[in-house]
Amino acid sequence: MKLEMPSFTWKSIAIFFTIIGAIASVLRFTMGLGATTNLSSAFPWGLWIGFDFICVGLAAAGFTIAAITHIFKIHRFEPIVRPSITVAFIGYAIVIILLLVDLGLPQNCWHPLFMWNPHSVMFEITWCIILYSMVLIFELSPMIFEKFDINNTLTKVIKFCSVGIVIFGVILSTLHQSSFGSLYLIVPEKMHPLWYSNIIPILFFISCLAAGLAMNIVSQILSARIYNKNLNIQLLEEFSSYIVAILAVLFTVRIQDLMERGALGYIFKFDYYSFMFNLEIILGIVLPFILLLHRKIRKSINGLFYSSLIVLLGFMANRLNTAITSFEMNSKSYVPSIGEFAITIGLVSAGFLVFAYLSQRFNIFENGEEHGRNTNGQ
Amino acid sequence: MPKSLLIDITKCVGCGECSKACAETNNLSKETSDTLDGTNYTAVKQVGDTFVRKLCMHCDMPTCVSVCLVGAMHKHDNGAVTYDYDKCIGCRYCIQACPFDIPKYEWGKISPAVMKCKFCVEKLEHGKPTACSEACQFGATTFGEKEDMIKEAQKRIAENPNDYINYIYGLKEAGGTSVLYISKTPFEQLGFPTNVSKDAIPNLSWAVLSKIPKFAVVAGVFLFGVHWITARRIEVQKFEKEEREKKQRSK
Repeated sequence: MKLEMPSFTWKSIAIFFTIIGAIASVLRFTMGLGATTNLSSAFPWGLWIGFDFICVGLAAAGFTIAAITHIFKIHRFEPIVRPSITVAFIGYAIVIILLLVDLGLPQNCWHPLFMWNPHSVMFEITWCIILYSMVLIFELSPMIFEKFDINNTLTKVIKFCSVGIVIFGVILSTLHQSSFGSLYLIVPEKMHPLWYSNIIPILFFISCLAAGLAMNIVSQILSARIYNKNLNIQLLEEFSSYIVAILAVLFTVRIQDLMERGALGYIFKFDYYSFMFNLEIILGIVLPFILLLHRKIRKSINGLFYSSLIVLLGFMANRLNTAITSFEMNSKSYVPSIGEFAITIGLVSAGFLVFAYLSQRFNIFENGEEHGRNTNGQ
Repeated sequence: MPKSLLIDITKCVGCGECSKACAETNNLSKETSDTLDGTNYTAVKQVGDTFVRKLCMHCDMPTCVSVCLVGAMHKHDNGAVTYDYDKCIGCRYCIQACPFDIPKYEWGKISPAVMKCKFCVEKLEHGKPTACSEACQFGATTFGEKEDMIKEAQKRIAENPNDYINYIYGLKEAGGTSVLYISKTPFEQLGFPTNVSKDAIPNLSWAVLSKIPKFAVVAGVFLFGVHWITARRIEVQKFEKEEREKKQRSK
């Protein structure tokens, strides 16, 4: 790509924010949640939980591509599998760390392994996180084995089970993406009607598909710019056409749900909530839908990049609105503290650095698995 | 048998003896407060010329018990809903989910606990009433069998229809609670959440959670099926291509 970013610039910025985040985490663990966050009993969940939703949604990059390539066997997507699984893995790593920071008693974080309550959505979420992280490690393992030239029974077993692992991962992801929505099923009277819905798990699942694909486009273009890799724009264009279809479905389901619950009127109230809702819908659904309908935009790298970025911003707005805005009814209010922001931004920066490190050390972009391409052309 | 507290808002004079007894029994800081703030289990708040005492409702089908992933919240047969600090991981889902906004967190502490009334469960197990009901000199808080308390509430309302509105708060809320309120002022004006579901709230998530095993099996079979069909198709294509090549070569 022409636009060549000097890598030391973004890296030094990322290192700076990582250090700030690390300092903020130390303060959080030494001074407690009350002193370092703006959370309260009226607002027990804030930015961190909202950001967990975002990260897991973006990590949908992994399971969507894994399903397309390994189950539906559209092998031309093979070159994107590894970068997207890596992105998913980093996303989940951020979520796990952020959850540990957010827990009031992180020293007890192992309790869910032995103390079970299947009636809790949080139980489902915890097990999805644990199992899906393991799936991601398995899915990444060929890359690691390849690097260190390991070839033994273990690698063979993993290879033999690979389809099973992918399928397990797709089921877990479906459950996990939707379960973040299910978390809110239990608080019908506390959430604004624009966001509370009994089909919120389904809405969360549909929206994560668009976000996952958009994340793939953005991360592909970014890494192509940074590492001067070749960009397969045809694949990205194909993604963008999927995104258009998913956004159309999402829009229809969303509006239909509002109509069924008789909450459509809240959109036109022109208050704070209707503003935030419209922001989310226009940014996350309507605008990218219109943009990506244009062939010219789909064919241009900048067009793809910025349309996908808008999809991601709208997605983030949706998750933060669900987690924060919708709870601001009854004169409760919450603005995240500097510490909350610092830790969140620090973790994202660390995520970028880890991705950069992995892509230097391991063969993420040039896919070693040739078997797919041989069998199905392209 | 489930026990119950009947709180008669018309009889409360706001002396705060219940708060003091509660703090003493549970080793909490002695100050009385008008809000639940993470240092107390109960609070008496003045609304106009009435006094409203807040404490855990001890739901029959508690939302907090259902949402706690490690089972740190427990519903006892005697009605009490208690919290186990040793199990808690501090996710605060209980605080988020409680329809009555009762549990509070010790935000100021490094290792915080969830703070909520425990219905003096140890006293109950020894056949004694709760500390707050013992302390109340004005009959605003009465302790007894749940059945009797419901009858008592109905009796008071029936005998003095001018002094009470005809509603027992807690009889239906969240599917029924162990703490029952009667009042002259409508509950909405006293700051009670009146839009709380009349059905057991845990069903809202269980309706989805209970379908997971079925979903996982169906999805697994479906995905394996798709994989099998597509893999087979590719195999057939490959075979046919080889056949064609063979034929061409033999020609």
